Amino acid sequence: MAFLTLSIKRKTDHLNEQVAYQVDARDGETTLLNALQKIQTEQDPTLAIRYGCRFKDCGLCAVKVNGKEKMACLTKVKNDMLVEPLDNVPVVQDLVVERSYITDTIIEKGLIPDTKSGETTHVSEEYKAVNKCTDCQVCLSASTLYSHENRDAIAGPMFFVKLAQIYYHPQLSTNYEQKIKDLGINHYKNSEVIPCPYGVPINKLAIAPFLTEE
Amino acid sequence: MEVYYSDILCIGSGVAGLMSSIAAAELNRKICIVSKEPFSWGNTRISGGVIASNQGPSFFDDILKSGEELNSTKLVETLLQESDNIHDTLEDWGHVYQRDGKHKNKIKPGGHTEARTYVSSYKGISLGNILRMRLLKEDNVQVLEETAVCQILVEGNRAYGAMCFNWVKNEWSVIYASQIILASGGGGMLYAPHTDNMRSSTGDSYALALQAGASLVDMEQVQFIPFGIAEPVGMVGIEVGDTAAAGPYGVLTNDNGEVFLDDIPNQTREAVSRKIALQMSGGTADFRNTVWLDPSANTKEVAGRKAWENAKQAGSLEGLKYAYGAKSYKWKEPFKVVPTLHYIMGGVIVDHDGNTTVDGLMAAGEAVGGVHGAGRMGSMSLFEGLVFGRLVGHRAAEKVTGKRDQCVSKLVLQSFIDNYKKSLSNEKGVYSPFKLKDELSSVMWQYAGLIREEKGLRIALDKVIQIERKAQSLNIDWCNSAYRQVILNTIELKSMLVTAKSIIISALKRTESRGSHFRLDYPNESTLGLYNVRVNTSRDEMNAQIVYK
Ligand SMILES: Cc1cc2nc3c(=O)[nH]c(=O)nc-3n(C[C@H](O)[C@H](O)[C@H](O)COP(=O)(O)OP(=O)(O)OC[C@H]3O[C@@H](n4cnc5c(N)ncnc54)[C@H](O)[C@@H]3O)c2cc1C
Ligand code: SF4
Ligand code: FES
Repeated sequence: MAFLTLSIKRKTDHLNEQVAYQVDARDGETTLLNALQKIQTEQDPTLAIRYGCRFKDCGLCAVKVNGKEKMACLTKVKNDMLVEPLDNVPVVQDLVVERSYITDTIIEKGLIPDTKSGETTHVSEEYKAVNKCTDCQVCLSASTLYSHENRDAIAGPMFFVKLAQIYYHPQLSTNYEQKIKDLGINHYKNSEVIPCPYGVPINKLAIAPFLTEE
Repeated sequence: MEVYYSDILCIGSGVAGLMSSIAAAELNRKICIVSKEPFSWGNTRISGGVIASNQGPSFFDDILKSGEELNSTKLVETLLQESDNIHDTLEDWGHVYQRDGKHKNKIKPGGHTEARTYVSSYKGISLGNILRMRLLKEDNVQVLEETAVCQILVEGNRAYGAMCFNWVKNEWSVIYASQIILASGGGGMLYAPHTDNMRSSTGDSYALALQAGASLVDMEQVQFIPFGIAEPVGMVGIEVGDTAAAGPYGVLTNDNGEVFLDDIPNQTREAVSRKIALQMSGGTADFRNTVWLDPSANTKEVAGRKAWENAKQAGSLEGLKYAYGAKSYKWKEPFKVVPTLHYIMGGVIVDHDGNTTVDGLMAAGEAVGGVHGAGRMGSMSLFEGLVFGRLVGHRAAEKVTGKRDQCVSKLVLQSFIDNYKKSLSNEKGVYSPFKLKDELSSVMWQYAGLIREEKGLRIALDKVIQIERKAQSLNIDWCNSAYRQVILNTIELKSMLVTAKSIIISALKRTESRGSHFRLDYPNESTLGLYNVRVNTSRDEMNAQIVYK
């Protein structure tokens, strides 16, 4: 048996501290997600984690590893990793952060495509690129400009991408200009480059096209 | 405890749940849609997003051929009849298919004799998003996400509501509704880690239906797609693809490099998975050998290289890269494969309007049995979910009555919940639901998976009963919020145990090999004629019986 150590930032109603776990795995042998599952199954059933597909498609397993946002299922486990929940989104428990506000925001900000009917003929590369968003919330966690408390005024990168999905839709018919204001995109005028594990070029396709002169 | 009221309660937010909710909302009904995952997460979202369309005279025959004629022909006819303009509707809502200028691309997944399948612009994610947005456009919709339905409330064969647990808020609730649509998907986790399904696919649909008094059909028919990743541990079962993923020149080899199967794309998922399993077991019931997919000959042929391009487009090669490295990704070297649980063909018995035998309880999507018989062709499940989702949503809307049948005082509701908790675990013990789930799924994989025989199935049944017993004394603290996921997993373990039993007793009953069901002790099809295996529960006793077609 080979053991490696993972430190996990835990938070429950009774606990708020970093806890070290020994996991039966070798460096790089399996995914970080699998190591977290092992801890939950074999050591502490109250360790809360979120995942769905185990490989890339659901976007539910994002965490911070040594300070950087990662998908736990796309990260090979290494000794001495520090695993924390995403920043800027309220923690439910341990590594699980809230999500249901996403549905509310979509409704409130009207991020719903309203397209002309009839057949599409041309699908742009931009549309394909912004369509890859899995709602993983990494961009919210990584952005220094985003704050959950202030999300009504400034919604955050993930939601700008949802607007971009409407804007680049081959049969766009929505009036998106009001939505740009409602989302507060101008606040991101000088934003640093925002990372996305799914390769959505957020600054280029979901911020730059919407900036207006004030 | 929260109490909600709605005309229609829809359980599940995959393609079937979203479609039926949209259809019912369009008829101005009040909808409450509940999802154990975040809203619009489910297998639909992680699917390949390839969707069949009703084209070509051979469609009906293809479905029945893949299903080895166990299909309910009534349901298949309804599926085809009700599929008019389904893709136009999706496109009007903003769904985009991959296309070549004016024409949508068409592909031919395993089992189809014609190219009639469209490819979504970006896999299931794009479909899930369009349906989510379309439903949110409606006013009369209440979304309860991260909430598991634990029990359907029934009084004298009339379903009138459901008991739920919101695992994020750590809160119990009850929803009253005039019509309930069960659209909570499949149960791949019964064979974890040998599955490509979402974590939440724990067979809840089947367990809820039985608990409410409805019946199941052909639960032994569970589909293993032939190519799943075999290592490392965390990636076991992730989908590589169905028969098309071998490319026209790909071959399957054993540990010694000897070829045991070629011409793979022209065979069904069922046939290829069975051949792999028999190779893995050397003709016994125990797996001991490794099987390799060698796609390298494709790289030397035009059609082979085209197949690689298609696989790359579909996004199904990335798992190979991550698990096995660049050479396997480029199809330049062989890699290990293992069949992985993809879909449950069996399921809840419904009529052609989606009604179960319980008044007020309807079902759609992977929850339902009978459409695909003993084997499902690629791209048929999303198609079915769209068509039956829409149909069932309309029918449910028509059936809503203004009057509320049943309302129980909060005190009584609370006692329902307390009794339910007791039924989950009646004494404080040491067992963890996570561990018991693992125990159960390895029993299912070993004894009730690809290769079955009477002896193994009896062992499986005994072991399930042992796990059931352990599950009565779990380490669970109902009052401590840190146990929210323990509670969720306990609810799921309970569904898994019920569904596992239904699969095992059905597999014992079917003393023949057909489609996805292979019995080592009965390797041929029965000569006595076609039959379905029906499961129901009476007085807490689960029974399987044969019904000749
Ligand atoms: C990796 C993969 C790829 C696939 N690719 C394709 C493809 O390309 N084409 C195709 O046709 N089919 C494909 N399939 C099959 C297809 O995706 C599924 O069969 C289909 O999506 C099922 O739809 P559904 O609405 O019935 O269930 P799901 O989409 O699985 O949705 C189930 C819903 O029910 C909810 N739920 C479950 N239990 C409960 C409960 N107790 N209480 C409340 N809510 C609950 C879940 O949260 C979820 O929202 C694929 C499947 C997988 C796993
Ligand atoms: S844009 Fe990228 S980082 Fe942001 S939610 Fe979408 S996928 Fe995640
Ligand atoms: S578990 Fe689905 S993306 Fe990681």
